[in-house]
Amino acid sequence: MKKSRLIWQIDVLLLMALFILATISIVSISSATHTGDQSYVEKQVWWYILGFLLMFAVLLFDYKILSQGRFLYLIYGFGILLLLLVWIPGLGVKVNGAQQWIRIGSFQFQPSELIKLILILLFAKLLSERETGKGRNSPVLGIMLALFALPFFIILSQPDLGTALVLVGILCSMLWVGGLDRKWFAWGLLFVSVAVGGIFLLYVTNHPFLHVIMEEHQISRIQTFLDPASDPTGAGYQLTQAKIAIGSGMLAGKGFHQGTQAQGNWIPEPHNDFIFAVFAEEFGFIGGSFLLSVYLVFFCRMILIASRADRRFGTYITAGVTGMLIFQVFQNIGMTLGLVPVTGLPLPFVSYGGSSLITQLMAVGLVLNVGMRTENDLLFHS
Amino acid sequence: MGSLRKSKERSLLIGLVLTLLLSVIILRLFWVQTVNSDEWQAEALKNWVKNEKLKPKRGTIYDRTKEQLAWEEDAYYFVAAPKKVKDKKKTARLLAPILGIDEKVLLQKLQQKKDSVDLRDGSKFKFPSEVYDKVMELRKKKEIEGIYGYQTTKRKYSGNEAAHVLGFLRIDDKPAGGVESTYDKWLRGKEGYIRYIGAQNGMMITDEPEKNRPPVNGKDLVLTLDTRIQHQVELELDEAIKSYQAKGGTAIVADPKTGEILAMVSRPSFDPNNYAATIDDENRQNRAVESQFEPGSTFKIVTLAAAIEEGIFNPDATFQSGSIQVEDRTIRDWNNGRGWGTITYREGVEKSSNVAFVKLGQQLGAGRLVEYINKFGFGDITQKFGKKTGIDLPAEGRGYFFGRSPYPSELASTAFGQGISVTPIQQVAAVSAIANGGIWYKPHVMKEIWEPGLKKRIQTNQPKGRRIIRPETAKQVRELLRGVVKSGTGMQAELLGYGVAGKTGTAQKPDPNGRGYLEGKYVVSFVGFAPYDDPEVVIYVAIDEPSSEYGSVSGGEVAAPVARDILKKTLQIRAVQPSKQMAESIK
Repeated sequence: MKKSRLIWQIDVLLLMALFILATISIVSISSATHTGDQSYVEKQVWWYILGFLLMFAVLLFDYKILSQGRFLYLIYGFGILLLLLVWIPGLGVKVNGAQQWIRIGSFQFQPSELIKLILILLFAKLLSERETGKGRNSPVLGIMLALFALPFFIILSQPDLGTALVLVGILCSMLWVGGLDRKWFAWGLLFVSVAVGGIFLLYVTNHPFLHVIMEEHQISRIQTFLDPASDPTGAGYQLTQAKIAIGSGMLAGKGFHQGTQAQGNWIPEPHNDFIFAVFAEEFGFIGGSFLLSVYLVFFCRMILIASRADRRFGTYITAGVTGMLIFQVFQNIGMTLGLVPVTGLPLPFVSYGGSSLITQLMAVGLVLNVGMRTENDLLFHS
Repeated sequence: MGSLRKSKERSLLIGLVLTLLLSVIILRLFWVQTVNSDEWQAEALKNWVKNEKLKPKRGTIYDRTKEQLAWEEDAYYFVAAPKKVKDKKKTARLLAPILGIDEKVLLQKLQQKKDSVDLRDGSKFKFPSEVYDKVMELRKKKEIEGIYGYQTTKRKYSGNEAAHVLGFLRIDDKPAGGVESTYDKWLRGKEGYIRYIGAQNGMMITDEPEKNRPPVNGKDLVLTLDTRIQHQVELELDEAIKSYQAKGGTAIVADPKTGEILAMVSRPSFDPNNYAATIDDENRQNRAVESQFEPGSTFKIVTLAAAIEEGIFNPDATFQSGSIQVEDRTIRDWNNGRGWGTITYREGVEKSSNVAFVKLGQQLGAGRLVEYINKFGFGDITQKFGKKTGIDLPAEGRGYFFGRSPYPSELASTAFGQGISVTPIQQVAAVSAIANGGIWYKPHVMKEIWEPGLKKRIQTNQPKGRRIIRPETAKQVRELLRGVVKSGTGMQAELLGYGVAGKTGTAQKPDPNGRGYLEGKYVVSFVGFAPYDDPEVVIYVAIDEPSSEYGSVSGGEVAAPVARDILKKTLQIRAVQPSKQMAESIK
C-alpha cells in the first residue's frame, strides 16, 4: 500500500473530536487561570503542538514493527527504571503528597504516564503472540500479571491510587478483548463488589476491624465521599465547591470567563483535576453534555478501529488505549460530580499537563496508526 | 478466526458499557445543573457575593470650649486560625507579653478546634497600633503563623474626668451611661454596606462593587461642660471626701440663666478608658442625677420662696424659736431645741431655724406648699414618686414622696426638708430658678450637635423656661440667702468680692431597715449661687457620710468651703468681675 494512499485512511472523525477536545481544553484552562497565572494557556498550546507532532511521528511507521523482537521488554525495563528514579532525592519531586514526578533541570515529567503506554503495547504483544502458537491461556496470563504487578505496586506506594487504578483498567479491558474467559471477570466483579460492600458495611457500623485494614486518612476519604459536608475545609470542601460550580452553571452556563466559582478561585485545582467543573460552570449543561458527546464519538471511533483491525496486535493496542482513556474520563468526571471517590486524575486531553497529554496523544497516534493500516477488504471478507 | 470475532464482539460490548456510563454521567449532570441547580445557585451566591458591613465613625464629644472629651482611635484586634498555628506553645509564649494576655489563656484559645478564634481576654481585645506592629513583625520573621490582625476603632476618653456625664462604650460597642447613651442615635451614625463579588481570598474580582451604601458617620456633640471647671470640681470634691473620709459625694455647677451644666462630678467614680477593670455597681451610679436623699435645710428655699410669693413672709416679724409642737410631734431647732429666743424671720432664715419654716409652712397650708414644691420641679408630694427634671442623662431619679395626702406633722417636716427624698439635680434646677429671677429651666448637658469634624452646627439645645415665681420674689429670696452666707450657717462659703448666697443642709440618713434615722450618718450639702444680685453660677455640693475628729460635720462646715473654692475658680473662668463696691465694703 502506498503512503500517499495511507493518509486517506486516517480516521477523520476521531481527529476532529480530538481537535474539539483541544479547543475545549484551551478555553477551559483560560477560564481556570483567568484571574491567576495566565501562562498556562500558552504552555498548553505548546504541549498540544508538541503532542500533535509526536502523534504524527507515531503515524510514520507501521505499528506492527513494535511487536517484533524484544524491543518492548527493553522499553518496559526503562520505564520501570524511571518509575524507581522518583525515589532518588534531588531527582524525584513530590506533588500533592505523591512522589510521582522526575525533574531534570526545568524539565519535569511523570514516568507513570509513560508506563501506561508501555504496558498497553507489551500486553498487546503478549496477547497477540498467544494466537500464533506460543501456548495456552495460563502462562500468558501469568506473565501479564507479573508485568502488571511491578509498576502497579510501585505507583501504589507513591502513593497514587488513581494512576494505579488506571493500570487495572488497562489490564481488564485488554484481557476482556483478549478473550479471557468470562467467568474470571464474573469472579473479579464479585470480589470487588464484596470488598467494596464489606468496607462500606464496616464503615457504616463503625466496626473496629475497619481500622485494622485501612489507614485513618483512607477512612476519612470514604467519609468525605459519602458526606462531603463533613469535611468542609479539606477534600470535601473541594468537592463541594466543584459541585457548586457545576450546579450554579445551570442549563446555559454563566458564559466564558464569567464563572464566579472559577474566577473567584473557589474551585480547587481548576486547570487540572477539577477542570470539568470550570467548563460546566461557564457553559452549563449544554456545554457539559456536548463535551461528553465528543468523548462518546471519540471512543466509538476507537472501538470501531479496534473491531476493524486486521491484526490482533492492533485490536489489543486500541482496546488498551480505549480502556485507559475511558477509565480516566469517567473517573475524573465522576469524581467531580460526586459519583466516585476523589482520586486525583486529570481529564484526558482537557486538563493542563505535559506528560499526560503527550502520552495520551501518542496513544491516539498508535490507534490512528492501527486504523490507517487496516486492510479494508478484510473487513468484508471475514 | 472465531477468537478474532470474539474480540470484536467484546470491543463492541465495551462500546455498550461506555454508552451506559455516559448516560449515567449525563443524567447526573442534568440533575445537578437543571433539576437541582437552584440549591447550588444559592450556595454559589453565598460564596461569591460578599456583603460587608461598613462601620461608621462614632461622633466626637467636645466640651463647650471644643476640647475633645471622647473620640475614636485606631485600634487592632487579632484572630487566630488554630489549624494554621503549628507551634501553639511557642505562639502563646511569644504573644502573651505583647498582648498582655496570660499565656495559658492564649494557649487554651489556640488549642480550640475552630476555624478562627478571637484573641481576647474578657474586655481586652482592642490593641493600639504598637501592638499590631509587634505582632506583624513576629509574623514577618515567621516566628508565628496563623495569626491575623484587623483594624477597628476604639473609644478613647481624655481621662477619667466627667466619667458619669460621658458614660462609656461597652465591649460590644453599645453605650452605657452618660451622653454616650442618651445621644447614641446621633453619635452612632448609620452603618453602610458594600456588596461585591469576592474571590476566595476576599479580594474583589470586579472593580465595580455591585452595590454600595457608604456609612454615615456619627454627629459630634458639644457639651455644656467646661473642662476647666470640671477639673477643678473633681479636685475639690476628691480632697473634701479624702479629708472627711466620706463615702462619696457629688457636685454640680450650672449656669442658672440657661440650665446648662458646667460641671458634674460623682464619687466614687471609674475610668472610662478601662471601665472593665474599674467599674462596679457602686461607682457606676451618677449620684448627681440618680441618688435620692433627704435634702434637709436646703429645701427651706422652696418654702421661703412660696411664702414670699404668697405675701405671707414678713422678714421683720418675730417668733419664738427653739421648738414647736405639731400634733403629737415636737419639732426642735437644730441646736438641740435651745433656739435663739424670740427672733425675726430674717434671723430665722439665716440661722436655719426649723421652727421658722414650720410656721411658714403652716401659714401656707397644705395646698399651697404642695403646689409650690410641684412648681419648683420636684413633683407632687401627695404622689408616691416625684418628677424627673428631664436632664439629658440616663437613669435619672424622680424623688420619693408620701403617696397620699401628708399629715400636718409630715407637712411641717417637709417645710424644712425632712421626710421626702429628692435628687441633687432637682435642687439645682429649683435654686437656679431663684437665681435667674423665677424661671425654671430644664437642666441639660448637651449644648450643640454638629456635623462630623465640627463642620456645621445642626442643632442647638436651649430648652424654654417656665416662670414659677415673680422676679421680685426671687430677688428677695436671693437677698435672704445672701444673709445666710454673710452672717448665718453658710459663712464658710463666702468669697471676697463676689457676694455668695446659699443654704446649707445637714440631713440625717434614714435607716433603710425601718423608721427613724441612722445615728451620726449625715448627707451634708450646700446649694448656692454668686454673685447674689445677678447670679452667673449655681453650685451644689453634697458629701455622703463625712466624719471628723473634731465633731462637727454640718453642711456649713464641710460642704460650704468646697463650694467656695469651686466658685472661686468658676467665677474666674467665667470672667465674672468681683464687685468693687462689695470688695471695698468688706475692707
